[in-house]
Amino acid sequence: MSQQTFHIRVNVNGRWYEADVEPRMLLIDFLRDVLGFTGPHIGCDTGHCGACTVILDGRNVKSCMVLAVQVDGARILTVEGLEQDGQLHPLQEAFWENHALQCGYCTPGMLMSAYFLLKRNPDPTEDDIRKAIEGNLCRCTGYVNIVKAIKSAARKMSTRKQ
Amino acid sequence: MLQVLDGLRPRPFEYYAPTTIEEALKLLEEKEDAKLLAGGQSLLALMKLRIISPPTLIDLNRIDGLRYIKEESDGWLAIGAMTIYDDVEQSQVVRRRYPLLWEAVYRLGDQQIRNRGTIGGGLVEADPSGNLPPVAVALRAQLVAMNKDGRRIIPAEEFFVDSFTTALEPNEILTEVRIPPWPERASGAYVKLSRREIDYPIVEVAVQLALGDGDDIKEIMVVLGAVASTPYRATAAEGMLMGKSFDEQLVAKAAEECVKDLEPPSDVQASSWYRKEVSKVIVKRAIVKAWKRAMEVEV
Amino acid sequence: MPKALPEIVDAYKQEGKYLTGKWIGKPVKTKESYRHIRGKGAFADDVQLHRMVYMALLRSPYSHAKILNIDTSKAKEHPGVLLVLTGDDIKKIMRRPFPQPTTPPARNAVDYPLAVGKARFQGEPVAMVIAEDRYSAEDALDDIEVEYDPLPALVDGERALEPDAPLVHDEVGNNVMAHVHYKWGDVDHYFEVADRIVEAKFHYHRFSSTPLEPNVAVADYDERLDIMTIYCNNQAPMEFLPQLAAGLGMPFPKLRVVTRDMGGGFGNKLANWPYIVLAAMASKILGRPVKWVETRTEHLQSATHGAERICYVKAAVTTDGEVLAVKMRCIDDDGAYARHEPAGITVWAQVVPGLYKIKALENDYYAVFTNKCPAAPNRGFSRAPHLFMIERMMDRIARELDIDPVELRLKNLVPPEEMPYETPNGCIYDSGDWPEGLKKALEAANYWEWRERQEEYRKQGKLIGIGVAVGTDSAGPNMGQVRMYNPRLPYSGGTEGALVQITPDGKARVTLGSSPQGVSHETTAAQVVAEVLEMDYDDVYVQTGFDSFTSIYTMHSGTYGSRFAPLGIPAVYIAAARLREKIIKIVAHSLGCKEEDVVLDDGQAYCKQNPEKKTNYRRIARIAYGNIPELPPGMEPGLYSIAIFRPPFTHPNDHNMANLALTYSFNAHVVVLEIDPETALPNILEYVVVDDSGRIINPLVVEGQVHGAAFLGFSAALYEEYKYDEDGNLVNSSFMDYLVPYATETPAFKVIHMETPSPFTPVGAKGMGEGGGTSIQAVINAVEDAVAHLGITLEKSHIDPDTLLRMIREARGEEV
Repeated sequence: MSQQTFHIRVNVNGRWYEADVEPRMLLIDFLRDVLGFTGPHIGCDTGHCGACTVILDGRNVKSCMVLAVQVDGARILTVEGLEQDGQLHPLQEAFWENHALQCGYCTPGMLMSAYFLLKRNPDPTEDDIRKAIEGNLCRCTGYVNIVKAIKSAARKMSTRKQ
Repeated sequence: MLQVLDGLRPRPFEYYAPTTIEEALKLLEEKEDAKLLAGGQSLLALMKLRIISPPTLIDLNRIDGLRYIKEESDGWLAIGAMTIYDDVEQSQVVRRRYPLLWEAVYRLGDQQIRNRGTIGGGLVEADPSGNLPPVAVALRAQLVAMNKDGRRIIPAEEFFVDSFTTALEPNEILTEVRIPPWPERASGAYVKLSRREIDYPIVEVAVQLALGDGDDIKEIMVVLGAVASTPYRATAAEGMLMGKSFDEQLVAKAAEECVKDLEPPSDVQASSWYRKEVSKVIVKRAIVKAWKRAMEVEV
Repeated sequence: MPKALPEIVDAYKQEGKYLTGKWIGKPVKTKESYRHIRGKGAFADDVQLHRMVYMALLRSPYSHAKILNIDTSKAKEHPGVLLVLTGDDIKKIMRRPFPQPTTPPARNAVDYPLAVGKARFQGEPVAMVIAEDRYSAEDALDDIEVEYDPLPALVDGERALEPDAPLVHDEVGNNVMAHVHYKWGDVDHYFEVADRIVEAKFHYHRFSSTPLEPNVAVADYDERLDIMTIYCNNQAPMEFLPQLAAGLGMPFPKLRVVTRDMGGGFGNKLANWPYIVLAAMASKILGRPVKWVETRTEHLQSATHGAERICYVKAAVTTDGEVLAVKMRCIDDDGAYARHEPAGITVWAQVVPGLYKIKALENDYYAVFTNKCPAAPNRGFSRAPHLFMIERMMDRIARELDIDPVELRLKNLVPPEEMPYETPNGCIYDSGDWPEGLKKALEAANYWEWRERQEEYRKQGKLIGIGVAVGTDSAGPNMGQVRMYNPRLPYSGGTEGALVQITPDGKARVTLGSSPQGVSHETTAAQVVAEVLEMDYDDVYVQTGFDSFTSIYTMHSGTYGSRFAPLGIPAVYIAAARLREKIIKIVAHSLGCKEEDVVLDDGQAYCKQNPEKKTNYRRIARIAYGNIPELPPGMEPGLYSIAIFRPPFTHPNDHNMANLALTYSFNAHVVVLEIDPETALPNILEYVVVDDSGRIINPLVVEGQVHGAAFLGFSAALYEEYKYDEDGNLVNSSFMDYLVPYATETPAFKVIHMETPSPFTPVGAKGMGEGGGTSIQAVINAVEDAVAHLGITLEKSHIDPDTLLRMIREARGEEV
């Protein structure tokens, strides 16, 4: 089989990167091994854990279920891009304050799913929150403090807007 | 012996990302055993586990004009094959006119899958446990297939030929799903039973019905998924309910009737016996829900 | 037995002189989280080294098969492949197989990190490939051809003991990994005088709490310095260092094992060392760093599982509900190799009578080999299954005697006035008011109200179940427990080390012997150091993870057995206290006052008589490290303090008596759930936990652990079970089929705290990470309670809707 490679250009967290990739390279491997964004993690091989979740053109997706070649020209936000000018994002603050993580392995993906939820629904109910993170596994927290943190971030964000 | 899956990265393949449907059709003719890549939320998982290893992927994501939800003047709803699930879930038209389609999509996978997976992909995969096939059949949807010579329409009921097998020819691409208008006093429901919310169903039931002048049923489609290799239409149950007025006991009887001939598969999540038993329950619940919705006593 | 003898209690007694409550007990935001929320966690797979290559493993599809031939010639030619090895190659490289912890004949089992001659469980690695990148390494696996001759599989622990059962290890001659007959107290007498004997069989199922981060090893052999550095996520590196040293033929000072952030462990990462040994060997052969990252499928299929346990239990009880004695016959199905097991055959003995005043207990206990994934600890290791037997038995006894299960428990719980309490086998339950804790939980869950309404619901056709269970998290183990199955094992006692240093800039540097897996050791250690040294929490820097070149360790070091609070924190406390005493001497000398007049306050120091004249840690440190003549005469320069905490544990005696754990936390779980009578799907309506883990160092951390323990038990009871078919195929080896719950399935656990300090640790904190598995017993008690009126009893610690619906139908006399 011919070894195809593709030249891709991707914006990650506001900066453009270029690289040659084999078509089979997964976006998660591209982010972690090629670009060095090790925030997103690999926790499974079937797309069930959500630890690799990133925002791709405005939507949360699992970067293990997208090929790197597919994101040519796209904008990606990873957990590393949530902090702005040294200021933590309200979700990051809320996860920290509410102890919404223990081992931290699911956190980067969990935050990105929460980020998508709050963009779409600034005032989610507890059920909305649980539904929004139904693609993200956590083994440590029993989700109690994660739900609490997302609720608290939503409140924070709406008061800050006012 | 079961296959032991050592890897999580696909075997090598050639990749093409055509920008027009014509180009995609041409590649499909040229490249042997090529697979079309839509949302990739099932295909890439299988490729990562190396359960399948197609030599060529033709990515449809760069083709413009396949992602839309349009209400047409004759009342049909047309959904482009590359429309992602999330678009369907967010569509007010879908939610109002076809609540069962909305429910099926709302309960399909997770947000990340709904942000990437497509209606076309979900139908063409023809997974016996997929959420969409029974809904397409229940709504009497039509599927539009294209090859280089033109297009043809395949009724949903004829589209699903076997598990993971559709009526599409190897050189055809599904481009659109068309849902017919149902009468004014029609509604539907989709009910899925699974251990976890995101799971493929152990049993799923799609019901669409239309009422006569009162609460009597004028038209009804009851379609089960995950219990056979293709969507299973419960015609006996439909027959028992045609022309009848709302009666939960009758629905229960019809549900009993509809599972009589079922021989559902056993797998790691549920035995054939369990599937059959809960099919009765889910059929009953889906019909009651759809009926009440049509009568506008429940949303 | 009841109250422990005062001389024993005195020997264990600890007091914390320097506790002010300024930092201990505060909900301080954790140090670790700040990395993780920004995506800057430092996990093993994040390690990227120059010229690093990747390892992939070919695994046996058969659970039991002779390996006739392995052809690697094609794989060796695959582009990018650097090295391909089979079991036979490894056998030649390692001079001998892994040492076995067992006694003969089980000790004759031959264990290599790649199968030699025969594969003994599905997923056992048979060959390894090292290639330039992850993709090529996986590709080359396709090119290896293995010829197998399948053998009959042994998949049932009870069957393993039958004379004609297939042999997992031919060299052993039977399937017994270990056998101990325990007898404490006059069991026979109590069975004679009892009014009634209640009998039951229970089955603790096979599952593992499966951390989200899989096993990872990066081995980097530096030829110039002859140093092997290993970045890994093993929970107790000192446990496998002997194996690694033997496998590589290298001395300890040349082996650097490093853990950093670890994505969960739950015990599942204690026995990943065979893979670490493989990566290290490859790195030594190639002279390049080798990375191995397990896939999820590999993890579920072949990492480690929690052992399965079958018990036949008999209880001698009086008519009014006193539980006098228990007789048990148990079998642990430990899978194909003794890689951490059969420790479980002894570890349960930390909690022999459960939380009750049971006077005597006998247990004829076997651990067996089967053709399944090797077993290793899972949160609540060995004690959780035993507490399951006890707590389930309490419900059975209550039902037979027609007493409310809560009344039965209250009658038998060890009362606070008998604390510290000595159990029939010599363990000392340190403190707690358990009846009060249970009452609090009942009240918070509206137990009595639910009980009243339950009958009403039943009339409406609803199945409501109320489950109650109590548990104790025995913590800080005495490793001498393993000598009950093999008296020659050179492990006993329970220790942990720590180093506290005030660096020349006046900040504190701390290293720990533990290898934390997400349990906030950096935070809690820093709180203790900040408190004892009266300095700012932000000025305390705790090294992330374990590093055998910088951490203070013993052979017990690691993160398992809920040991950080009872063993690790005392080490930190003592090291800090010693440093405090040294600092005070320096200050007294330097400012010219008596030591008892020196005041430490927020990183500053002064003499009581003259608060205006202050010095601070930076100045003190500059003296200690550089301005030596200003130190008190004869004082050793520097501000280093090393401590290793040693409770007065002894070996178990000839009757298997010893204190086997330092602290005993308490928890009570009350669950109310509804079972859909038509589908048997569960729905949790109420979940309350009361937890008493002694003095709380950080309420955020403690509450998080309580949530986590409740969650993993709930999910094991209702969702997670490894299912093997009769050929030994694991039929659910992905997250698609091995059902770990999401937020959509998980109830909102409510937690109520109590705080009874332990008299045996200087801070008063108790170990509490594992939670004793109480949620499993509470949930199963609740499910059984929902259907008990139909005459249904549950044997297993797991129930799925399919099985339950069948039971309900059968109980109703329907054909199924």
